[in-house]
Amino acid sequence: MFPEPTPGSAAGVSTAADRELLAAPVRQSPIALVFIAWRFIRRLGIVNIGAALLFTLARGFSIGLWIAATLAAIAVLVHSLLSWWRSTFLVSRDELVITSGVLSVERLVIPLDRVQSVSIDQRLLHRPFGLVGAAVDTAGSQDAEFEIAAIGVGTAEALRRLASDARVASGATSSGQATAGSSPPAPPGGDRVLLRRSPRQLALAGATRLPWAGLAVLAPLLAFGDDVDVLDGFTGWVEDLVERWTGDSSAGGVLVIVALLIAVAALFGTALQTVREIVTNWNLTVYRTPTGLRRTAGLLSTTSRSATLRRVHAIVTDDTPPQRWLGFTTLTLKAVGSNDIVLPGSPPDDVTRLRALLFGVAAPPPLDRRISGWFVFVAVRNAALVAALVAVVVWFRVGWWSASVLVVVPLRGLAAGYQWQRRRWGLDEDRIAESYGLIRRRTTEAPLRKTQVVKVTQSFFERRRGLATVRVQTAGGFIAVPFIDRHDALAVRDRVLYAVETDGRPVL
Amino acid sequence: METPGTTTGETAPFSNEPIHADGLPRVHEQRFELLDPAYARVRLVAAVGAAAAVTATMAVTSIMWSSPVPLVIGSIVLLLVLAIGTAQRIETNHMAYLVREHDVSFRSGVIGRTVATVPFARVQHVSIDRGPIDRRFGLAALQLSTAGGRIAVPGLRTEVADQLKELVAGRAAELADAETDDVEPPPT
Repeated sequence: MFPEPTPGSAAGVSTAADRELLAAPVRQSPIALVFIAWRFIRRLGIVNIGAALLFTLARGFSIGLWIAATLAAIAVLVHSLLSWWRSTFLVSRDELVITSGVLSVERLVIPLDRVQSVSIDQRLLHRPFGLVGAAVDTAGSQDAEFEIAAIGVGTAEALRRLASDARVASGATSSGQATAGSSPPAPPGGDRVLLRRSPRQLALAGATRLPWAGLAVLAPLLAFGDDVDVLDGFTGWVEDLVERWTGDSSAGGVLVIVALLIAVAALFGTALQTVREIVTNWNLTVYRTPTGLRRTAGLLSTTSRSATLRRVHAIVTDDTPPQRWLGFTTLTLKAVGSNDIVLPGSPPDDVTRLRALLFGVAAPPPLDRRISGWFVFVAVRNAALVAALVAVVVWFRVGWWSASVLVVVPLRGLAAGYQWQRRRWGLDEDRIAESYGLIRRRTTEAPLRKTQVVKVTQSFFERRRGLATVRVQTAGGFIAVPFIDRHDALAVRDRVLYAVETDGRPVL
Repeated sequence: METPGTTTGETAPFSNEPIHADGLPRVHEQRFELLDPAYARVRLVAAVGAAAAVTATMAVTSIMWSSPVPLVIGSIVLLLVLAIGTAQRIETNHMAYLVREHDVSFRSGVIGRTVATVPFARVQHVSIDRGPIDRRFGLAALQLSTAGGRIAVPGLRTEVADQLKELVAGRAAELADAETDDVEPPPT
């Protein structure tokens, strides 16, 4: 299985051995070819390739097509081979030196103590060969600086240990939260299990998600259903249904069919999501390491992700109505770059514990303020504008029936009214928070002192009514509160700036 | 971290008294500096250039295809370019920046107005951009990047941009050195 952070193995390996392992340029395992090729194909765009494939299937094969396909395959292969051969890395003194490039040679030098985290994951394909993938992340960039598709477990672990040692050594003078990037060489008893998800919790979390994924998969199938033989049975069944219910395809019958189809798609989507949740988050565990948090999960592919406490800049909870009834939420710890730690199926207790650990306060931030009711007006106005436009366009086809589009306007008004009632925000000495969403509810909170940029914006509409939008950007997402009194927005801005400028603690 | 225990109080004396919300220093009550007047001309040149390019493309394509379609499309694009050019010209009158002890603010926008503020302590790097038109007018744009967004102040005289860059980079470095993990905020 995945290399658990066993104290024994970590303590047994000395830094010298790690350095020796990485002293000469390390090339990835040939298995990496598969990943590189896949990444290359993905960059071309799966959708494009799929569309091209469908197109050719419809037209039938020709010799020219075969040649084109062969050439494309050769190009992918050559690119992957070159890319695999050319990219190596090594650790020299206190620097990670990465050489890469297909045609030109690029050399990237990263001081080891700048490496924020080395995340390691093991995919299905890695497993039989005892390999892992690794991503090196520095503070400077949004994405991982450098990704290794496939190397031996030992090498990856060595890199991780070296990086975290360097980080600890450089931050040794600072007290409190140490600053090491990734999971450190765990001293005996160093890693504590903070929380763990049972399969039941995961299944519940998956089953209670909104089933859009199912709809997204099913809709194109239905649209192109006639062209794909596999679905003949299904489309035939649908046509039978239509006939039985409608006879002469009246509007009511069509509505019933559409409702039925949506229900089927929703069920399908729910099943899909449940399976996906269980597979991707199997044995989801969060460890408290000496330097931060590490999350490991996965049945087929195991992923390991870590973030120092300091690098978590906001926490977000996100839930659907059934999840709220069952008393759990999806908790996301927003870290710098793409290192968010996502914890589905989190009970309130976990949220409180993590909030206390990260921000030092267990109590949720206040959500006691509302935005202006003009929010509803603007929503209705926009809906009316769009509906009118659509009505005019459709009028040329269906005549005055097009006016029925305007029905959406009062509906939108109703929805916006409820949305407005639900939408809250709040601010205390240290934190700002907002919460919104009628069905899917999202609550974001962030410590003021972690703000990077603060903006006060007034649209034309807001300006005429003395309103404004305040937007607090952190390195891990933002909080934007629209339609509040201009003076409130300015006060929030000044409070945020005061909090940032009087606090000497580092945030990255 | 050369002097552990240093608080921001030592390197950056914070002048405002605490903390009931009314006492906080306010960005909007300070005087913003307007951009250099030459910047309006930069925008004008850019707009005229864009309009000329559209007109030329329009002329060439309509002659080549001998059809009025490119003319119609071109005129619409030309109108758009002119409208945007005018809006930007008006915007330059409102664009302004404000440098305080601890942060930089930039005001922009024509119809909607935005004031974005970046504290020095959050600046990751500072850069100066000088496009070809900027260079002709002796102007430069100052860009302050943070880990969560950036602001760019265009239309600064080159000397001013350089001075500001020095100032911001210097303050950011000072504050970075003064960072401590002490949980207590500095005494006020």
